[in-house]
Amino acid sequence: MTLVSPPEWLRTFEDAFLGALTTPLPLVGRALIVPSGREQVSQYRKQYWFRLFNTAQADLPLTTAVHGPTIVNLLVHRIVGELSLDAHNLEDLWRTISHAISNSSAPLAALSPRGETRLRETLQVDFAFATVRCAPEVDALESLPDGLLEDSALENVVFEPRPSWVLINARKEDMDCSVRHEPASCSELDSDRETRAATPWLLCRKGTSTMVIPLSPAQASFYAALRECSLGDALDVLLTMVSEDELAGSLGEWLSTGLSLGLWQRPGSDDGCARREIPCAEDP
Amino acid sequence: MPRALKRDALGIALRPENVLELRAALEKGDAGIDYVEILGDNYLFGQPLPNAHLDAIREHLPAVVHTVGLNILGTEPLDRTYLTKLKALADRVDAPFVTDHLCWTRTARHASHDLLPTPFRHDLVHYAARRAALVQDILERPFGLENVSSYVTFPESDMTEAAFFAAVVGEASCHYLLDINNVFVSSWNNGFDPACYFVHLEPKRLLQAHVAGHETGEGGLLVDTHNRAVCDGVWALHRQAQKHFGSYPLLLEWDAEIPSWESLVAQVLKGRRNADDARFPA
Repeated sequence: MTLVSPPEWLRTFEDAFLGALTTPLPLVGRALIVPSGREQVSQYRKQYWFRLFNTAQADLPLTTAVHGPTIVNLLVHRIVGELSLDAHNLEDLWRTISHAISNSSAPLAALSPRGETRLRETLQVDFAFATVRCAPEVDALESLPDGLLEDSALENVVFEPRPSWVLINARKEDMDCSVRHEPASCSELDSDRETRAATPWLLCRKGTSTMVIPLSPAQASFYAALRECSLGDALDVLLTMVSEDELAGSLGEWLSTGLSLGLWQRPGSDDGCARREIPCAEDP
Repeated sequence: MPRALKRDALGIALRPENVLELRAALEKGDAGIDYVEILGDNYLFGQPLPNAHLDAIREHLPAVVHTVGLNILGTEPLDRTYLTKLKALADRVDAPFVTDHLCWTRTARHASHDLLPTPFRHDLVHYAARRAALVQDILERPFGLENVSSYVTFPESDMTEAAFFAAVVGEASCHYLLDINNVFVSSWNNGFDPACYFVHLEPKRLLQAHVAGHETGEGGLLVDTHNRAVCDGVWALHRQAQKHFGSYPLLLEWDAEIPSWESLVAQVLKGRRNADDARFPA
């Protein structure tokens, strides 16, 4: 069966209708003015923006809990309002927000300097959880080759990271709140209240859930280095943080833990590790 | 061959919020209903948890498939990947029929995630009917189009909504999913008589009817929110519909602030009492 082309007016109509309902809502102070009455498309426009706001709040649960839905709505309104229609969608709205924020150092929501800092902190936690949750599935490396650490070509061993884990420095109370999904306890994390310093965490997808694992700075640096460098270069990075004795005591365990968590992907080579030379990222 | 629903079957739309209660009721031996309707978009990509629940429920109840992604009145080509997955899902659950909406949802640039209207025009009927007919051919089972709720009328329309609906379904040789709440809401918002809606629709093409709750928004606009009980006006319209169509499979939609399973069953049973009333007019 052959399909017919749509009437010419239909394309024009739908582009215009979509343009009308995605037009940003008027902003007065911090209040977004919801369309009312029986003006053309007002109900659809209201539904569109409320759907955007609800999606953003669901995508950014910690930020919503700590800073409140109004801040999230204002953030979405500003970011989406500056984008063309083909530059964002509801399916990965968090990714759009993340990209916009990473490309801008301008204040996000007219908060105090500390409030802005906390906003960026909570957003980074939300983005990390979303990255893990939404990552594509890739087969995991199943075993380390025998004699890996005695291999004379150690510097050429590269572990390809799977996309379903991230490293993040975050406050324990933020991570606890994100894991427990308890908005009441999250709301106690006042934007201006002093909180504990950030520490390293590994977020890793296992099945349909996300594992949240505190790491020592050295272990986190090791996993981070393995993302960028060969195993040999990563060990060199690690030796700037720990002694050789400490390294010898921990390395096997860290590699074994990384394997059991499925941090690395199976590249298809015989021994499960790619063997190629790559340059390491420059030291900071 | 998919098992057909009985003509007076009563069903409830399956949602994540009510699935565990339904499974518990089935384990006790009686869910109180004859079938469920699943939102196909929640199952198309092999989502593990919804599909596991669905497989368990299907051991006890038939399921029909309802979707929102076909974009029948959109200008984009029909999504063949989506259709292939939808066919596979319908086959897997042995769905007697599949339904979607007579509306558009997206353009090439952006998806609205809403069910959007068009003007009702004669020069749109053929386009819409060809698309609906192709969908039905691919699915290899009856395909129903649902009337959506509307908050706007267009001066460009040269047909009534009901006439447009009838023309598209008739030319496509497909079927109706008659949403009685949407007829009620649209008639209120756009100023037409709901009682005149049904006379345009061929009874033999009716697959199923939906009932749901709505809210009154600003300016007196009725909004199709699916978050409360079906009002008396919609039940009255259901009785009128039954006088025209006879009995039909009825389904209760409740998408937000969902009450207990027992409350949902009590709601949808009103549909059967209404059917009894229709057989014995006052």
